[in-house]
Amino acid sequence: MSATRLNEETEDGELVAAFRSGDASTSEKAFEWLVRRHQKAMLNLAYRVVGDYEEACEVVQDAFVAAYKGLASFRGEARFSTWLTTITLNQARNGLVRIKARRRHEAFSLDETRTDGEGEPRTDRHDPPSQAPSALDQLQDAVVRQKIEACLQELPQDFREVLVLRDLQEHSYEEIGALLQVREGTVKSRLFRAREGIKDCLKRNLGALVP
Amino acid sequence: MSDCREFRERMSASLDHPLDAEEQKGLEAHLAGCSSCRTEWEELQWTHRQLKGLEPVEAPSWMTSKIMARVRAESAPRLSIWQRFLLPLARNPQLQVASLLLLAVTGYYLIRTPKMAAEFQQKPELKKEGGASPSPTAPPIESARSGRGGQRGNFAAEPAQVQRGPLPAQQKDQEQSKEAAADKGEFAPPPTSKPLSRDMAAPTPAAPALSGSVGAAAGALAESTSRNEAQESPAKKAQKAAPAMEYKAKADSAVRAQSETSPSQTPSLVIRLVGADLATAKAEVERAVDRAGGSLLPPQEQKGPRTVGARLDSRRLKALVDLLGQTGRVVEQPEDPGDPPVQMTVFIRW
Repeated sequence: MSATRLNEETEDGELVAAFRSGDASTSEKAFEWLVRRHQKAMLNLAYRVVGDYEEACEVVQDAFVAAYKGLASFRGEARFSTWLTTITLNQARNGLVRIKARRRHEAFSLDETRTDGEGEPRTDRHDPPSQAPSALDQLQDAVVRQKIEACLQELPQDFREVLVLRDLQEHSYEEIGALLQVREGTVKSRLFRAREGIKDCLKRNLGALVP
Repeated sequence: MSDCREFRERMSASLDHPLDAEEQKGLEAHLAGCSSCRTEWEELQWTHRQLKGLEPVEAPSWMTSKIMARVRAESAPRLSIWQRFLLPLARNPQLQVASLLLLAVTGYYLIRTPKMAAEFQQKPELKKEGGASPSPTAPPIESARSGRGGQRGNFAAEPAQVQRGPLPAQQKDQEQSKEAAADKGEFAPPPTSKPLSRDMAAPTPAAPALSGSVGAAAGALAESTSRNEAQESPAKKAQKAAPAMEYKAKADSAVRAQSETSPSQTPSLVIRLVGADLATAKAEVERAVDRAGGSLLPPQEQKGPRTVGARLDSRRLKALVDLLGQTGRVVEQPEDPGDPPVQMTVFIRW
């Protein structure tokens, strides 16, 4: 398949095939379409997992570079998006390690006070460009959103990954099990505990959730 | 409560997929009778809605291009270190010239430095008697030693300088002017090559050994004081002279041994002796030469009133120095000329 015939309508499988069989320019074009198509989903996954927009951008770049290197050996046993999600999750874990290291370093700074984990959730993370209208009547929603994001970060990583993959990325139990290399029963169990955890966190931070 | 936990898990599952009819019916029946679980269910649904309602973040506009740039960089053929170093060189003639210059300069220093070091470290060979005379233009080889000796005869640890072979004319002039200055009771100029530190005080003189702490200049001062010998006792003379002589010794850092060319062009050596008693030095030095097996030079070859010239087998040099150590302090122990033994001319100055 030539580069000119590739477009946004081309299926992932065809793009992968074009990448593997085409010349250099076709490969590059095919990969670029894959990037365009999946970067937003991967960025959202990374952002919800690492909780930092800039770090999430780094994670996504690293994930696509890793995918580019490994695409030649991708055998198509899973969907490309699932395979890419696995890579992004792994890179996100690396990103979390970097963030933790950075926070440990910053903890020595006398200029700012932070409370992580037990105390008030961090609210100084880098936020993405806001898409919401800046109206005062949206203030409450914004506070809730902020608290949800903060509570999401308070969850243990295993629980957070399952919750993000299910409730935000809408993967099935089976897919999540395959992505995380765990059984479906474990997925259900983690999902239940993650939902309980975030609900309790929101109750602590917002009071009664329902009138 | 265990029932409640089971129903709460069922609540969570119902958010993901519809429960079968029996499960759904059982859950509804439980919720109707359990206000706690009802509240939990409402809160869970609200949390789930909020979570699902989180706005997706947008990718920055540069994301695609940055990813592709990194991908292109990854796919570019990797050059080895040599290729990366040599490729710009092959394309740029100016760089080639600069590299050649750099190589030439580096090579020059690499070749030159060890040679020079070897030259400095090489032991100067004494000329065999009757052998070829050293080149008059050859620079004197200096060997300087640092250290300090406070005892008479401790010549091994005294900073000094030994020069072998013919003295350059300029250096001879310097020596002569220094001696002249010493004779006038003036400060002798310090050596240019290795000045001694000011705190290098000579041993405190003990009467009547006036010259127990001095160099050539101090000796000159001692001579001037000896003119008033009749009026003053030797002890008094020492007391008066000692501070001045000590200062002289500090100022006069020209304490060193030098070699000179003897008239017969045999290897020659100058041994500088300090602290010798001026009145008896000549006799003691001559006796030392004799005991060391040397023979005094004829009077016409002698070089002054405070110098004794002698011929000596180079193997007896060490013995001579040891004997001289009983007379004064040898500023620097001359190096052993080594094998083969030669007849050498030695000038002992004090």
